[in-house]
Amino acid sequence: MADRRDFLRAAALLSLAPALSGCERPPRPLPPQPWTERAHRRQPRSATAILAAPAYDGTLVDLVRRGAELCDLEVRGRRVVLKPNFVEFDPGGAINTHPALITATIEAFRAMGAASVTVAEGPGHRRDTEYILSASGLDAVLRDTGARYVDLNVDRCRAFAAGSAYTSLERLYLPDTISGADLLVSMPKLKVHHWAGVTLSLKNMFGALPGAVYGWPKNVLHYAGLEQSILDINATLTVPRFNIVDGIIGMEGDGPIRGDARASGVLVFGRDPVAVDATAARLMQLEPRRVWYLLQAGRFLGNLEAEQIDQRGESIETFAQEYRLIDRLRYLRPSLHDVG
Amino acid sequence: MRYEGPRISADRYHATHIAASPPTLSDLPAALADRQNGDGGWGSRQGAASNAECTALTCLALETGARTVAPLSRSWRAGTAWLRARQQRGGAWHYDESGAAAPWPTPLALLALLREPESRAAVGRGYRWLIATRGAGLGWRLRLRQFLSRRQDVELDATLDGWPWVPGTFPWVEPTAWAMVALKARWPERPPRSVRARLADGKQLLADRACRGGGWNYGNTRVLDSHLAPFPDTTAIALLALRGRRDGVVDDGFRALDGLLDDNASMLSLALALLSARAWRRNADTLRARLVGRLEGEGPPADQRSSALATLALNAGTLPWLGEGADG
Repeated sequence: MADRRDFLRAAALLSLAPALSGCERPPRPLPPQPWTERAHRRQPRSATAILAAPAYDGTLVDLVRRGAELCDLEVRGRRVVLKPNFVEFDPGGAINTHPALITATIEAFRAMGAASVTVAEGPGHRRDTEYILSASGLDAVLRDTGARYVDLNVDRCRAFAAGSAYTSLERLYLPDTISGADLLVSMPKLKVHHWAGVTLSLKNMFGALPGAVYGWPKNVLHYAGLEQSILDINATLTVPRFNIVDGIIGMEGDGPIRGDARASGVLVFGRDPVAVDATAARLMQLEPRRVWYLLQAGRFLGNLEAEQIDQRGESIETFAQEYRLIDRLRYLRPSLHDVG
Repeated sequence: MRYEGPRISADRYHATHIAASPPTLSDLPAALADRQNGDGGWGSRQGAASNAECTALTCLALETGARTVAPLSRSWRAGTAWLRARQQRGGAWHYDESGAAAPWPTPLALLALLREPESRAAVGRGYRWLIATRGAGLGWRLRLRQFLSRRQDVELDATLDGWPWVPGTFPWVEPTAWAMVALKARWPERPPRSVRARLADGKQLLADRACRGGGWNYGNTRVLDSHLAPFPDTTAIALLALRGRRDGVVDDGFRALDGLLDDNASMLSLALALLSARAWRRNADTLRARLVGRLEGEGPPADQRSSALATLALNAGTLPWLGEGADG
């Protein structure tokens, strides 16, 4: 019972949508279905693929191809935008999507016939693009592959009507590079997040919104509610999606920035970001239904329940590891109440 | 974690990310002017839509040369006209013309227009907006959560106003610092009481947001049990804002900045560090030599903000908004 009490208390606290350090609008009642018809993307079933990836090495190109094929992804002729996670950089940490995986994805998608592959990111804390590119090693990727990089923080953007109403933001400004893509590939790191629970494919889209409009950190979104913003952003993005989670080295503990590296040796692929995030959470031995925004996303953006996800490649059980959690996130562990 | 995988050479990187041929230093202003858009403004890189931040910084960088070189003068005048034409009714300048209410470049626009007689009315409206704009306090969610958990998740004095990126949200280091720089430029001596109060509040906010050991990041010193590290660019901007009397915060800031400017320092960081050294009349020979070396080797960066700030920092003339040319 103590576990259930902890869960309910933590869920109540989390529903307050923790702000990084900003301020938020007062609460307002949500409609029973806070999303538009256009934003409803949940299909009867989704597929995710788990592939063993022991190291950031030359095998990654084939793994990315295999992951895409297992998920029936077609990239021929499409303008692809890769959105890695470069929220911050710490030379000793596991914060960012590894450059070797980005290189491999560029090469794999080009080999599969993509019309173009662009790398794009809008770092949430730093404005110094040259520093981020150089320190993270992304500049070497761009140099070696000739891929174009777009700083989404200052990209030209346009307003779109929000696809859901979890926040009071009626319009969201999206960079042209994102809204004009034929395929948007979210490439998050496998990490826990001290406010939101986990940061994966859906949370990674925070970095797609321009700092020039939302500030550094993107405080307007924190103010509107961190988890609510994740939902509204993803509901507003209508671009076809693919997701590749870098779980070769993940982050446990005080993620997303100050946590500890954890070797998991795995990549997760899928077109449904909710299914991918649910699978990734299960790999960290977390219950996705206990992540408030994932639970909500499972109502309209994609499939959360294991029974609705076709698991391809390796099994979750083969690679599941208990990621260490800070105290306040312990309720994310599955318990008997989550069975059935 | 640095990438050491296979390398496939491609010249396209340089075409996209770095200017094709490094000009000499004396060519820098002309190189900046060449990137001007047809509407008179500058974008984040060549060909990008004009925005107020890059236009203001480029105008500042061209200002000295514009007094003597006719083509630069035309370019500068077109830039200041772009700014004047895009001032909002309330006095602020929004970042771009997307329709988003993002007025944080206002202090930079004010610095760019401050000494231009034609802009006197616009500058007056802009300063009124700047003086009236304040950050908002911590939100109810965070306050309630801190109350329930009986702990402080973050270590910030939420009673300080400072300046936000976007009105109605929390105040952060960079917008606060640029606002202070703009206020000090307009009132180098004996500011009116309202300005004095805003400067004092801004100074307090920067002291509150200084990282343990000195320096600043975007504006957060601790989250949960982790102390956060400073960044070189924001540290240099905060030091620019604190120009005046030295104290422990400033000394710690410079010490942190010296440590942050390692071999991988970006041109943006070097330029801002050089500007802050000039503002505090510190010996800047090494910084200047490093920045010159990078520019001569690589040319001006494609990023217009970095290029403009580098040109500005290496400007041989005096920069009155930094206090240069004034006594003491």
